[in-house]
Amino acid sequence: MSAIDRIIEQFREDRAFMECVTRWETIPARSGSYRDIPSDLDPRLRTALQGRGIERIYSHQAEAYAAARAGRDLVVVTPTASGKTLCYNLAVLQTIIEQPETRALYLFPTKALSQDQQAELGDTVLATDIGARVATYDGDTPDSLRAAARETGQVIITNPDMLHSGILPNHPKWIKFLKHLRFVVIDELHTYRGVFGSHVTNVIRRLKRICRFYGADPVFICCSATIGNPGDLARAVLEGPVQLIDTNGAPAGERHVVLYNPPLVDRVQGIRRGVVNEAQTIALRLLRAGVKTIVFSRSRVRTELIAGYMNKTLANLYTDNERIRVESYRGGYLPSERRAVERGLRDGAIHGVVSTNALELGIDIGGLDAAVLAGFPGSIASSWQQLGRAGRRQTVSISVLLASASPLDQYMVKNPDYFFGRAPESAFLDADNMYILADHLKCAIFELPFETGERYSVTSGGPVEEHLAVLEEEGTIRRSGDRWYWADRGYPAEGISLRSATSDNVVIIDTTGGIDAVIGEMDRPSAKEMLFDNAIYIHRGDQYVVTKLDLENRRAFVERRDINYFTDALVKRDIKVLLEDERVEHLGCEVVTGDILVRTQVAKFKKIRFHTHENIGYGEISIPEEEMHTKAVALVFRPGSAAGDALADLPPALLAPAIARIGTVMRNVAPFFLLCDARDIGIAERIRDPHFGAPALYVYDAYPGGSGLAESLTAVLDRVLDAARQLVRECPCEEGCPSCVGPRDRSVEIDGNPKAAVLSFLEAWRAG
Amino acid sequence: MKSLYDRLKAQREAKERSPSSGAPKRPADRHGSTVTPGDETALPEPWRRVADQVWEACFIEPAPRELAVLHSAADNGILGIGDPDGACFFDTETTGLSGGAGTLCFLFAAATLHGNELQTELVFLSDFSGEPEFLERVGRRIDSARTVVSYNGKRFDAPLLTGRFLMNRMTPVLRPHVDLLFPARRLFARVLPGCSLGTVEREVLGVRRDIDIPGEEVPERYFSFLRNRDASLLTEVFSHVRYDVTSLVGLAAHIEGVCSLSAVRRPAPSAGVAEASIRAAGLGLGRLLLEQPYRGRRPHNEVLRGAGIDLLCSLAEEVEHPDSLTAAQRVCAALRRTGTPADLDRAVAIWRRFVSERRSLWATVELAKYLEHRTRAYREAEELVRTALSWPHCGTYRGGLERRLTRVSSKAARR
Ligand SMILES: [Zn+2]
Repeated sequence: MSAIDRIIEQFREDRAFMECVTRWETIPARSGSYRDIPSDLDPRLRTALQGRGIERIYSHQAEAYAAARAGRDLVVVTPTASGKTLCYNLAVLQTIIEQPETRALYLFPTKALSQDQQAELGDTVLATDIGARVATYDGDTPDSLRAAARETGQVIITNPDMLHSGILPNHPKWIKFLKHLRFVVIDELHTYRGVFGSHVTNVIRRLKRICRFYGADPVFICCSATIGNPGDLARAVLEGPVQLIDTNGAPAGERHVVLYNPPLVDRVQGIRRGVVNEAQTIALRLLRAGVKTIVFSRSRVRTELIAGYMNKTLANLYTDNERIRVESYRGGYLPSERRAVERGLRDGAIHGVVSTNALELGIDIGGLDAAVLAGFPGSIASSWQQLGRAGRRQTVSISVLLASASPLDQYMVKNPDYFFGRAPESAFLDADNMYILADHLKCAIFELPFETGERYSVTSGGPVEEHLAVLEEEGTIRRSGDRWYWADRGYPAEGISLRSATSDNVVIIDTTGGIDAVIGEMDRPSAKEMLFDNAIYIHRGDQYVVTKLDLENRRAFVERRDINYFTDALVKRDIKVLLEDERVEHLGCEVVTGDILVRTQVAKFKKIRFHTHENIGYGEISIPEEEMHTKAVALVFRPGSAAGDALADLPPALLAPAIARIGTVMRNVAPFFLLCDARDIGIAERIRDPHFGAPALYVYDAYPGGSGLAESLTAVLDRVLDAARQLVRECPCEEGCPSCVGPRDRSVEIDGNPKAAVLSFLEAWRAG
Repeated sequence: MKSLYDRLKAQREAKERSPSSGAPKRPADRHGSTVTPGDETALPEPWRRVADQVWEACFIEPAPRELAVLHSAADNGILGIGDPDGACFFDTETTGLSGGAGTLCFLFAAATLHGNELQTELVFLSDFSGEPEFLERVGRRIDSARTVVSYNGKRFDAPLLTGRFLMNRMTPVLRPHVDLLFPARRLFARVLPGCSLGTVEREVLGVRRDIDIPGEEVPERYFSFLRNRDASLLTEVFSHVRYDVTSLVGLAAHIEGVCSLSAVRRPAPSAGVAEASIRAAGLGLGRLLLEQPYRGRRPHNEVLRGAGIDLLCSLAEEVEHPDSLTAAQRVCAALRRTGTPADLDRAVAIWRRFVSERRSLWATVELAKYLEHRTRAYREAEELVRTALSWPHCGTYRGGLERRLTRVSSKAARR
């Protein structure tokens, strides 16, 4: 009996453990579906495969190879351990062998992934002596290597941001590469959704446009994690027919998925053991049984805490820490530290890892036998990606989802049918979003004059005449003859970011002992919440106190110190209306569009004792608030309007929950109509808004400067409200669930059913 | 519901309000009278319209008197220009300074020498649609030259023109390219506040421009012209580019003049170069003469190389001079490489001087190597290294010196 089988049996027989289990689901083992190595494959490639122990390939790999070689765009759904890279490398390398002038572009969503990929592809290339030249081209590529990469790289590995701002605007330098571009690989396609996906789709439009100019017509090979609609998403990004390959031919061992609600420590108040302590306990049991384990946590601080507690428990000089090595992993570590952890996991030197969702993406860390999720990750798709990190092709695996005290987590463990029955979320995007299209049209015209009557995108893209008229009036483009030319000294891609996050990171400098050493970095908004003066910063298990946060120079100075507490900033968010563009009566409420300032302030922090997590004091923080200027739409419920009166009719105690929950419903429904991702919009509710003097619900763009989503809500509000009402009315839950108004939070909503309140509000509003 | 056009306009205005946006701030004249395309505005004499939206002008003037230097340098010159009559001194003006596929070249200037005359030809693009014909005419100018000469053209003008040719599906014309920026940096970087063509031209050639416009204002001026079709807006631009190419000829002659002057060690009146410029150029000039990096595949000019060695040696002798160490290092490396007894003697003299007068660790190591491997004077080498080890500043050299000491001591003992 193997270690994993033994520990599963132990858990099964452990009454205390099983009392916390709300569902133990066993997913039976699946045998693989194999195909012969394609007959046209070059002997060198065949030998290389055999060198890696591959005598036959999986059915989905064979399908992907056939489609790509036949010139069909494709998307293949690739869970962990399904041999994703062969889905594209086989076709690409075979074509390179046949025609060495062939070029391929690999797009990865993050830089870390592209480096990992190069290592992996490097193996294949080395093994086969094909001598295919692979080069990474991103912001970190030194100038001295760039020209060689452009001239001789057969496979260029990059990210969408670099394609957008570095490659496409300089395409004449890439002529050799672009002329012979035969394949474009888009890995982690599921990350290209919402506003980010809309941006990337426009970058792909521009790439195709330049390819057409050079007479190239590359095949697109996409890989996606399991989401609700991988085929639709690929069709949205590529804007053409795409072959969907979603039958996974890789074998999989038996999988145990356990939903676990930590035990009550205070039955009267209903308080349960915290996820941090519970996760480390379960993970340690697995590790001590000899099972390779990953723990996913929802924040950077918790990642450090769980890893720290585990290492402290294991610490023992005489047993060499029981010969178990546990590491933490998150963004903000030095790249070399992250590489070392990835390598340690692959070669077995590291047995356990605690990570944020940073390891949810396709970074290769080898096979793991167990996953512990310290809290519900927020979406079904993410949950399955994290749970899927445990599981190998042949052996049994176990993953445990631990619920925190939040209503959402509690709902998931108390309603296992909901969790197991619900399909992963779908991804949407809107490439014709006015803001985004306008930005990329500028870049496109910069790259190549626009012919009168030219279709910016082959299949859709709609009319762009109005965009052109505005740009001409603005003076950034000029019509000359029958073409539109870029007529501005600027470089448009420079001012257009594909992502909402800022790239100006704060560098963390350890000054202990008078030696300044950079130990990591953090994005600016997070730094304000985690690196304020006197904050305790934990880095790979070591405690530091922040001596000075120097925001102006993007530096935080820290010093090693052993302290018995950590810090947690209290974040306050408020909204200030800067300017009203338009105020209209619409559908029984007042709809106001305009500019707002979203201000995030950290003014105080809590000191929390390690292990017991009791609050042992407060401290003041004085740093400027983080501001985001963006676009918003506010629904104002004034007395006398249908919505206002409907709200006023609710029992006073339910007023606040009702407005908050309208926000939750909006978040659930609006992405379908706005074709965005839930994280692209912010929602704020006010029982009495100081600007409008009435209850109000704000929906705003989570991108600095706005992304056009809030603005277009007005046009679809009618349908959004109908869908919301229908969703709430038809949802089978009693008092609210994550699909509709959100689970009831009994700590606040003591009397009354929030779902009923929302429904009666919506019904009365729409009837009024 | 507002129309898309209105929404786009509103969006643009909102962006201009928003401090976080990167929307370009544009000058106020952008809504000036716009003339519809095709409505040609005549450019004054001597401009001739040669194709739709393409204009040419030609100016002939006496060649600068320094020209003789270029002729006498020819294939033996330090710059590798060759016969000056086959050279095309060129410059471009563009719609942006950051490059990228959206930056167009709208003005090309080429200066060529014909006997005692300097001929400057300008090709101007009065609207984007004429670009293929414009490039065709630019290509013709380059095509007829044996060498092209520019200032920073290797990094900017040439790749930009190549890109424009490719984007118009035309074959780029390529010629051997001499970029005067690099030799100018060697000669003037230490004595001038900057190495822009304007600065070099003013400070070195003594040129005063009467009608001119700062280079960074050129794109905006051209855009104004495109909107208003008022050719008078371009007067300064045309003058600017003519000054640029004329100065290129003067600068090339000046550089060749300084080099040949330092080689013959006597005033060359035709070059109009003062002995003072040679001294000021010092290290840069010495290296330029010694290394001769811009002569392409031509063999080294030994006369100039000898002049470079002399110059660097004399600089190395001025122990107080801030450049003397670098000069010594460069010249000794070259002398050691040739390795003739005479050259080695010169190097040894410099090393000894640096050891005795400056306690130079570099010179100690070089001299010790020489004594150990060439003359096998192990005792002397041993003593030399031992002395150096007693110096307080030997720092990072210590390990290497100690290993060397052990080795030469044992060699000395064995003898
Ligand atoms: Zn529900």
